Amino acid sequence: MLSPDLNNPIHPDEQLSAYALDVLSDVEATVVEVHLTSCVTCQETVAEYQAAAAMLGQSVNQIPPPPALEALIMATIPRAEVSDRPQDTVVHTRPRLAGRLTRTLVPLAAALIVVMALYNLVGYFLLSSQLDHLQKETAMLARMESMTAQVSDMTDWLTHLKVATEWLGPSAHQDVLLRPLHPSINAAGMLLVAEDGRRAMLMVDGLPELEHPSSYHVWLVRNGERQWAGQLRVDTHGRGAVTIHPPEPVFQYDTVRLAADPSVSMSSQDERPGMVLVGQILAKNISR
Amino acid sequence: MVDYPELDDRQLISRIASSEKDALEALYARYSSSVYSLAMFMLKQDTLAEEATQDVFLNIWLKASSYKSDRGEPKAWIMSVAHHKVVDMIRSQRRASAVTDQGAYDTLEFLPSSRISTEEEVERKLDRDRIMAALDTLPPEQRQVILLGYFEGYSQSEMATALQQPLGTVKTRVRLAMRKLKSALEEDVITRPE
Repeated sequence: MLSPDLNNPIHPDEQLSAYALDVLSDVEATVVEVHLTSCVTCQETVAEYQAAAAMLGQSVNQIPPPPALEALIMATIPRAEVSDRPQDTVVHTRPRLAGRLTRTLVPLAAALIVVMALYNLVGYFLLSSQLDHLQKETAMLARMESMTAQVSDMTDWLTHLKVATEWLGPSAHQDVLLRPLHPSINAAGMLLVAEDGRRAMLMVDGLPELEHPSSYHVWLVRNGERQWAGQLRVDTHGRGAVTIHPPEPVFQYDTVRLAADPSVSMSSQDERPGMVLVGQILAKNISR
Repeated sequence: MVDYPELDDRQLISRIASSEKDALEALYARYSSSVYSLAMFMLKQDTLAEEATQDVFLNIWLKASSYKSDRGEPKAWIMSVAHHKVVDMIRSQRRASAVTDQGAYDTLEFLPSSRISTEEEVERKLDRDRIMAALDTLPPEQRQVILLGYFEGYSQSEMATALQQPLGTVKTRVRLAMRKLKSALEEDVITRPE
């Protein structure tokens, strides 16, 4: 026997009569029926209303059912699953809670699916938005990295200039202009030679950047013989610099040449593959 | 040897709960006309009424153990099961027609006129004096919601739409109507001579 009202502090009084009349929605009826499973007071109230409603139902003109209907029903019953019968079901006045729950839960499940689909859709858009944002940030970072590299190149270039200025000092020196060996190459170079000719700095601009490990090589040529003097790499802007310490004073050579690795062809018309720039060195006694 | 027709309703339901098929046959003999008549009155098709009646007694067979004798009269329980089944069928048909037939909405809009014919029909077919006397105690708007709700199978929200009244108003009418109807019928039972 159930204890009255122990777990039902709130009674759906306003809906009990409507429940007995079958005019509640499925959801409302389910709420009432759940309450009825454990509330004796409301069960009694509903039973009174149902008695009144039953009188409405019994007061229509009586029509006997077709005789065959009874046989049909009785033939159906043995096939019914007796095991499905609720032997210890909780008290309530009408055996329809399961049906109510089914009708209520199925739409709720459908609604839940729709909500989840919407949630996923919103999540998709949010993720897409975040992905776009990340892509923009990545592009911005790439640009910043490129700018940083450019700044770094420029800083290196300025550093070379500063070093060259300080290193060479105010003493008299010769500067040798290096020009392209072929007109198709839009580059130039400057060899700054210290007074004693034993130190020099070559700075170039406009040369194609070579893939690692290729590089440009500085050659000093005298009477057709060349002396390797150093190597340099250029940045993405084609700028590069290198300090050389030739075995003999630079003034004792005829030309300074810059050439890429022999494997690198700078021009299809280049008779000496890899040769890029060349500059004429003047004797020290020739005034600038 | 059990004489099932001599058993009262509670005893029959108890034996049905014990899977005694003869008890169901006895209960069927006692209430099949009431169930079938209500189904015919509301569904207006004999095939549907037969289907409803079959489902009601199958339901009683399966769920008899859920009935407790101290929770109202068996008659009220049986009629409640029957009415709920019929209302289910009516609402299912209404939902199906609402999906496939736009005309069903037009029918809803013209319910006030159909209500009148239903009310006349009810007045002709109801087991008169008693229930009509009880209904007569109700104000017209309260009697209207009882007839629409019970015999037409409309929910409160459907009635609110059909009658173009706020849902709260309909709920109040239903509550007051049922309270008065219950009182009137109980009073009638008390005062009616045997």
